[in-house]
Amino acid sequence: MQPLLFGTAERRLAGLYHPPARGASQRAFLLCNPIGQEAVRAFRCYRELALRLSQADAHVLRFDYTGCGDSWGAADDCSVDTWLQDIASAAVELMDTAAVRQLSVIGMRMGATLAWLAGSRLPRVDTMVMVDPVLDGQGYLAAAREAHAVMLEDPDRFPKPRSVAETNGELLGFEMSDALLGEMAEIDLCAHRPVPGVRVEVLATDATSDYGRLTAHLEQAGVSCRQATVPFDARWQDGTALERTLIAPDLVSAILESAIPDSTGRERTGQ
Amino acid sequence: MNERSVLFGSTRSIYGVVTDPQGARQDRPAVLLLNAGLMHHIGPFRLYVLMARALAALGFTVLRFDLSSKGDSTARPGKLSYAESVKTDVAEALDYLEQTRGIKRFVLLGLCSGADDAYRCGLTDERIDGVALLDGYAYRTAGFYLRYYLPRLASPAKWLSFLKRSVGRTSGQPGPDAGLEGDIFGMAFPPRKEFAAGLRKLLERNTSLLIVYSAGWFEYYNYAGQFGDAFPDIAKNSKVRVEYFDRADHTYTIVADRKRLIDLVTGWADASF
Repeated sequence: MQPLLFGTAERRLAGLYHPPARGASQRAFLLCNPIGQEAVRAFRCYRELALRLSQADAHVLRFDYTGCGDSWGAADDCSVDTWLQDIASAAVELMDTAAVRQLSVIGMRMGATLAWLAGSRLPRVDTMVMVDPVLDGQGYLAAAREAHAVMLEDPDRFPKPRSVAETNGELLGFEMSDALLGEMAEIDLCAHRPVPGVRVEVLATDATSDYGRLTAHLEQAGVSCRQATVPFDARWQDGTALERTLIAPDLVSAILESAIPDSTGRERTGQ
Repeated sequence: MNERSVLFGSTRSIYGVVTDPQGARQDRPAVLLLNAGLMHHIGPFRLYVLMARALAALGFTVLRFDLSSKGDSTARPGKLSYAESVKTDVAEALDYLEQTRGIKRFVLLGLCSGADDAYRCGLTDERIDGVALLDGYAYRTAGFYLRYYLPRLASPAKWLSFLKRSVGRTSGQPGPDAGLEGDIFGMAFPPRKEFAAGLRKLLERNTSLLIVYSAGWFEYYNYAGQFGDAFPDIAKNSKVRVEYFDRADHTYTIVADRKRLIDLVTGWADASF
């Protein structure tokens, strides 16, 4: 594992590069984090995934967006457009470091969504694995606000409840500017054309999740897409589960199989 | 300021981020931020990142890092206990800063289990000039019990919960004051006298202490004067500062609470070192 700092001199992004276990490889995976507390909760999953991809002889880069994790910046520096630029920078960094000509992208939640939106800014993308992608920014924010209200009244967290009014400009522990919230509210994944030639794998941890609109959109665009359910009680937007670390070995295995199907000899079936 | 991600330690398996201030003050100790529970080195809601940068703005070098087996640090080889592993990790972190930057004095800060780790490492390494304990060991007093049980007397649901826990006590588990403090509430703290002796030992070495409790630690600490009531001689020492955030939760989820905590820590560090 090698720490990396990349991006511009004014805006340094922190990343961790995992080289392939057995040396030269043409496989490279860029891991795109969720945002906010979902990123914190998914940290161990991402680390485990990176280690296993590296063991499967792939180059891997995981990194923090501007204003997140160890990267430069604070809340005011965060915007959807900035994060899309960060993903593009990370992709170039990975391809340069790994000396590969194409890469694959894996993202959970808003990480999957941002990777999708960044599609046209990325160099050649072979595969995109999207875990519980956020299709609709307004719905995502509405659920986050509901979880935030629940959190403020959680007696296991606050013996004296706190109010929504005193947490104006923040959601679930993180500051979010009006501008950022406005950008996020406008997200509609199916309004964006997919990256040409990409293979898409959609994994849902909740069997009731409906990604029909996304798969129909992809099929219409002639993009190869497979959807599968990997049951796991992620409780992504549960206001009482903010610090609940995702320990999901089966999910990590499913992501690995989706990312490198020829390593398991699995026959792909569409859904 | 400049930040650099590093791998260090005898097995180069400990991962951390060093924040070097522009124009570091050579007379200032470096500050080490120890993992809060299983949280990786950014801290809950990025607390440690923001705290590191705020301290660096005052001329402190700061290292936030992952103890072995946490975050991006791998497990240490061998069969060390958790306490021994933490002690070794922290010692190697101090060694790293001494070797690379010539810093010889240090402050340890930790939240929750990080506070416990900071306290224990502070006791055994004489390079430690300051220890900041956020929701660490806490000892109940008469004032605590009054504030804890009075509201519950009027609540049938809380009576039921209390009775369930008491049944657990009478079936072989020791009571709250036997050996380990706090077991009725599920945490294992060293005996009160042992903690007091440890704090006195730190003070005899002229170590500055910042001891902070939040309202989220309500099973163990629930009023501003509790530490002073539990350890009156220690609380009066000029090297000791005790604060109670009576509305903040254990991980400072709310931004304003987090900013107040960072202001408290930076103010204490600026005044103490």
